[in-house]
Amino acid sequence: MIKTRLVGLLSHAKKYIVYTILWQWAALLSQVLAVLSITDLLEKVVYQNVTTAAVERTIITLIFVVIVRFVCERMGARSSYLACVDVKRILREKIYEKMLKLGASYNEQVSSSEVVQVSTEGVEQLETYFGKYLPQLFYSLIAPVTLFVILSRVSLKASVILLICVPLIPVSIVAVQKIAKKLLDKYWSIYTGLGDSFLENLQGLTTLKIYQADQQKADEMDMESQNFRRITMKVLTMQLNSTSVMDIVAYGGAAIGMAVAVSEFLKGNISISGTLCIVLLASEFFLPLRLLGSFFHIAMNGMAASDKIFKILDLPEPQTGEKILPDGSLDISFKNVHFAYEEDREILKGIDLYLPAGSFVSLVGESGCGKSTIAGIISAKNRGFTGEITIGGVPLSKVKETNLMRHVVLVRHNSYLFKGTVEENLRMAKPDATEAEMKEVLEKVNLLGFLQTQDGLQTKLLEKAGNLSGGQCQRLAIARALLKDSAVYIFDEAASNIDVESEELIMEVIHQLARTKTVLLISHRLANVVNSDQIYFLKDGEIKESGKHEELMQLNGEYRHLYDNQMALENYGKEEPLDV
Amino acid sequence: MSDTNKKNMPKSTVQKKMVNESTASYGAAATKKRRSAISIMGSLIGLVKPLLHIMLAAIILGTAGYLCAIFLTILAGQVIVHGLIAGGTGSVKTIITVMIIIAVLRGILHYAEQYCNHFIAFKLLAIIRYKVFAALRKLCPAKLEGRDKGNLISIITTDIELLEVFYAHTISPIAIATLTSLIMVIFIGRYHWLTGLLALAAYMIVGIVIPMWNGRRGSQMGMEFRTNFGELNSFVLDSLRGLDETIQYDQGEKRKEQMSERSRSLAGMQEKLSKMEGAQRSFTNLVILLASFGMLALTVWLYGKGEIGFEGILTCTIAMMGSFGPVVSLSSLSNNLNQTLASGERVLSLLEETPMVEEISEDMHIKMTSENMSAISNETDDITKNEKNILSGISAGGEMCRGNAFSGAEANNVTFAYENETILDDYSLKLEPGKITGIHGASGSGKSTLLKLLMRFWDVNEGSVSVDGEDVRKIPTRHLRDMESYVTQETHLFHDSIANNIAVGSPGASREAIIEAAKKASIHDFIMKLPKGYDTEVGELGDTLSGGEKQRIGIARAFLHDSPLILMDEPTSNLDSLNEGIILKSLREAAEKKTIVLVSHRKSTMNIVDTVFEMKDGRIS
Repeated sequence: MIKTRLVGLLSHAKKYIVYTILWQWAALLSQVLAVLSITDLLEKVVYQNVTTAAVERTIITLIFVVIVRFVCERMGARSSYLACVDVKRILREKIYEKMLKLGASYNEQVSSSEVVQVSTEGVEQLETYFGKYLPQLFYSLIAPVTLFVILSRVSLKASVILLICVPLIPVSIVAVQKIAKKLLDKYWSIYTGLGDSFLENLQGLTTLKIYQADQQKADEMDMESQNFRRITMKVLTMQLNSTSVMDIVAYGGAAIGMAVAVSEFLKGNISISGTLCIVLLASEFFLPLRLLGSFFHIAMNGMAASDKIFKILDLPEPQTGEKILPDGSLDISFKNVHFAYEEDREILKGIDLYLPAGSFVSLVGESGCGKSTIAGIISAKNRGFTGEITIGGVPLSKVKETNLMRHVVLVRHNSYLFKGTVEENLRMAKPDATEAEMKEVLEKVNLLGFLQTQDGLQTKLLEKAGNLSGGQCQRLAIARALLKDSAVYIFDEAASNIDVESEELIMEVIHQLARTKTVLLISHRLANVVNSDQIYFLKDGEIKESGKHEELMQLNGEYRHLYDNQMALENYGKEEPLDV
Repeated sequence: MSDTNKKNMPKSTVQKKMVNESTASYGAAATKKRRSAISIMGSLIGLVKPLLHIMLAAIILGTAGYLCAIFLTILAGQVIVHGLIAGGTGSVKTIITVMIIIAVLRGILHYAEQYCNHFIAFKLLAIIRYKVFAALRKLCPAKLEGRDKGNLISIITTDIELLEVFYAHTISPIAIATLTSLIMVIFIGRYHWLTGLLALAAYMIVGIVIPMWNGRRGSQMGMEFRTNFGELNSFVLDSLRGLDETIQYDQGEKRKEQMSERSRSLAGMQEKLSKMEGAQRSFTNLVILLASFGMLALTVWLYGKGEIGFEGILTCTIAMMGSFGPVVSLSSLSNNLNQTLASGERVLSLLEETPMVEEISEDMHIKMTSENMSAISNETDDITKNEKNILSGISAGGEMCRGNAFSGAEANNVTFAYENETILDDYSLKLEPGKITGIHGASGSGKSTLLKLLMRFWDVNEGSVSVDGEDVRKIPTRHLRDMESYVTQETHLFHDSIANNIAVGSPGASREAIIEAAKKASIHDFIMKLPKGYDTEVGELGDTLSGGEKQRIGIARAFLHDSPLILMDEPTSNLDSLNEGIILKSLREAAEKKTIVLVSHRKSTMNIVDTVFEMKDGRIS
């Protein structure tokens, strides 16, 4: 019933949980005081000996009670809030930290939608757990005992019976919980699944509309919704079963307690005021536990979420080395490197290549030949290769990841830009960059002019930089990379899927950069690699041909075949006048 | 509550604002036109009509359940009074038996009531979810570009879930509280009219005055909270999507800081909400205590004046103390209610938002065509070829006749602008049937916009766009879609098998047809190399496939759709020249029957087209 690991993670919340319990307890005591003074007055009424002093005493007591209760409620709400306020932030930080440690390969272990759901909704639900459930759990143990101590002096028999009935509630909760937990896990996965399919259907909505497949998807989602409803209803029926059991126990127990008190009264064993006291306070024995029961089910959502959170936090982290790369230019060497994503599908089948420091090397080949995997391995995105890779003389697997990131920058064809300003995106690469530096790199990629027609460096980017064209996105991503000023640059189809002007510009920037840095260029367009110091032609995970452009052309092999093909296509019909 | 009317802006104003709003975040757009709590509730209750009988049952069961709980203590009091007066045990035993019975009944009634309420709630939730997606389908794509998608997941999951609170825990509790309180006022009022009056006043303060006061204070805050909550969702999504870059530039700490900062500001807002909740709860309890003690004082005073007996004191006081349950549940409702209404409002305004282009159903078209026909029938009996085609298409149940008589498409003096930015300016173009037309130009020159106008994602400001001889604004949307395929710059892949991803182009297509389309798009050999062939699942966001492969799947979709007109927006930009060559070749072969528009910034792509139009700044250059 208590997740010790969760509580341990957030130990500072304990203090406020204790405060919350104490305020509730103080409120209960004042409630008892009020009932005692009311029943005392009523007894006096029955025996016709009401005095002004007695009435005044009652009034003063009741005013005191009103004030105490008022203060207790407010303070209780405050400490309950304080108990849970940091819960969300801390858990979110932990999840994000974990994602950072898992690195780029996180997607293989956990879906991004699940992480989002868990770090917003799920964490949100844990609020109930800390703010309401935990304080109530302890309070519901203290309250019956307190009442027992007070009322046992009135009627031991009735008090004992009431106290005995109390544990029946947690017993019924535990019984129900055993069954409900399984259902809840299932409920949660359907819940996240619903978010998943909605997101992707939304992203593909244009496609669906074009082909009128949106109705079909809507129906599918509807079915998922119906399924969700059925499961939730099942969980709910479960909860209701236990609520009903609790209700029956609570009210039945109170009824028995009252009945015992009343019959004791009829036998003349206890006074009117004592009897009334028990009648009025009998339900107080059960109310805290009943309330706990209702929180319990909400808290269970949170606990299911916490299981998901811990599952993420417990994912194995890739090992990273401790070695630091030397400053200055770096060379990279691959010796007999093999790599596979899945066991039976080897992507790299023994790669040997060498990037001398400060050289300009290109990788070419058809899509699926393993070019991007090589880029991924150098930038530590793909792990688990075999063979020997060194960078600046240090084995790649021994290099500290953050240090590797400082020296090797990878720019892919779909580099991510964050929602925010252009400046914020640029400053990622160099937090202390001056305005002049930022403008300089923007000028290099020919974006400055465009941005100045907008809000300059303060131009806001939408989600996924949706307000820039593909070419502009890519040029901005390259400007950011340039600002980083690292030793090794890898461009993985960095000039793909963009307009010719951007492509030419980016290639120019890359050529310029290659004069001072170690540059690895991956490109499907061979015209872009002609000026490389060394070209590796990959096919099916193996290096088929390598050398300078002229050498490869003389070789008259597959490189030349592809090059001629591309040139033929690029030049096809060029002589013919365009029919404008 | 007076700003309900504000949302009924003149349509033209709405039209102009649209592009602007579509880029703004959803929450912000919704805040602009806040409506009253009552009108939101009214609209939401409107959905409950078909389930009214279950709701009535819930209300009756709930009232009975509460009365059981209240009378348990009252009966105990009765026993004491009877014991004092008669000293007999006969009626006492009966009362005790009744007490036990109602204690058990209470549990059963509560169960039944809750079941009914939740049944209604979830039944409706599925309906709302469906409606939300339907609304998005209508608004797409013109109004959805750039809209925070994270925010939208938040809408359908969180907001709609929150509406559960409304259906299961708002509507019937209000009715139950009203009914129970009325019965209690009558019960207490039987002893003396003053006691009845006191009870009535107390119930009204706890059940109406405090919630209203609290609701007024908290409604804006609740809305803000949900909006920020959605923004945090987007931020987390953005952070996770950009994890690679964050690691690359060692910005994890900073990003984490920002996330914490946002959480803190959200917590700050929540602190205020929790303060309000605390205040509201303490005031509610204050009123309950004062009413209970007041009832005691009042009855003692009346007893002193000889107007009621001791039974009156005891019963009224106990009844007062124990009967606040139903109204208290209303009181604590108002905290959630604000957020629920905020959610409800967002969902409702999404449902009500008007699309940029109204779709045309086939019925509407028949009406339009018959009007046309009657207009021309006086002059000639010969109905134009196009109308004949369309009419025969309609009679065939939307299976439009294809290919044989397709007469191409045309843009006549088209002017189109987003907001104030003119994209196309008096632009004209003719797409010859059965030919490949190329449109070449730099990015931002308006090429893609032209295709979107042909698809009628937007309507032109001036001039006209026509497909197969008829203005797209008059063609039934179904028919228009049947006539057109559209391959975009980027192909979206669904979490599904490759076969099903291609089948999006023609839902329910046979495996043979899918393979045929894949072969045409030269993706078949690649698919066959995959471990499970056509049944291979596409990974999340399609990261397992290269851009070229994704694009070829997109092109296979278009081939499978088998429409006479194929629009291609930079289809080969992401393909290596070899693959590009193969695709261009297959396009060339398909072109014998199809009308193809090929938009590209690449000269090489233009080499296979029959006619090229150069485009610059929305004009032919």
